Amino acid sequence: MKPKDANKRYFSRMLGASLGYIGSVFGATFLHNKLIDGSVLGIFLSLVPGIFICLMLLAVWRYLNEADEVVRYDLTQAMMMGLFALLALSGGWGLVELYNDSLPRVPIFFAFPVFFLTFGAVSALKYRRCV
Amino acid sequence: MENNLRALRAEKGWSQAKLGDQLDISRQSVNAIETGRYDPSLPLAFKIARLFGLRIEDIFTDDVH
Repeated sequence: MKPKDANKRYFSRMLGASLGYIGSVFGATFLHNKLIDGSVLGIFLSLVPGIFICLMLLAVWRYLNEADEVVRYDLTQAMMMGLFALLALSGGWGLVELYNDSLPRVPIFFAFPVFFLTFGAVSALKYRRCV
Repeated sequence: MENNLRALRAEKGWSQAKLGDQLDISRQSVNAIETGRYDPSLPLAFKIARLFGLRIEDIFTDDVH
């Protein structure tokens, strides 16, 4: 596959999944507050953003298989940085929480944004170096 | 690993984008190889060498030598 085609497919897949994720998070939050707290419907709707997270990860996976080897190398490094940031934050702050009952608990929900924000920032920096 | 890909490309009068099209890689990837930021795999190195009608060692030089 041509690199331009792979890029286009990746960005369109990622854009669709991201918009779906944002919309479903806002929707689930709204419905959780207004209508469905604790119900079966509430649990089902709160699972919907997870579907879009899976679609975003699938988009990255497919891009890894469709992109050329240089892009694949950069992407893998960026994902490793995302993973390191997530492990450092969760492990570090996890111990702080474990030994200090008075401190607030960070919801596990933030694992995904931490990973993807780091992944995105490192990818953008690597892309800038190549332009 | 060093390479003379930029010089070879200039001899042909090709842009990075044109070279990338012939190798099925992006312009950014050509730039990464030319600047030494990325060392290509053996299949890609063979592809580059074939495109220029040269041997791999005519294009890529090991740092040891």
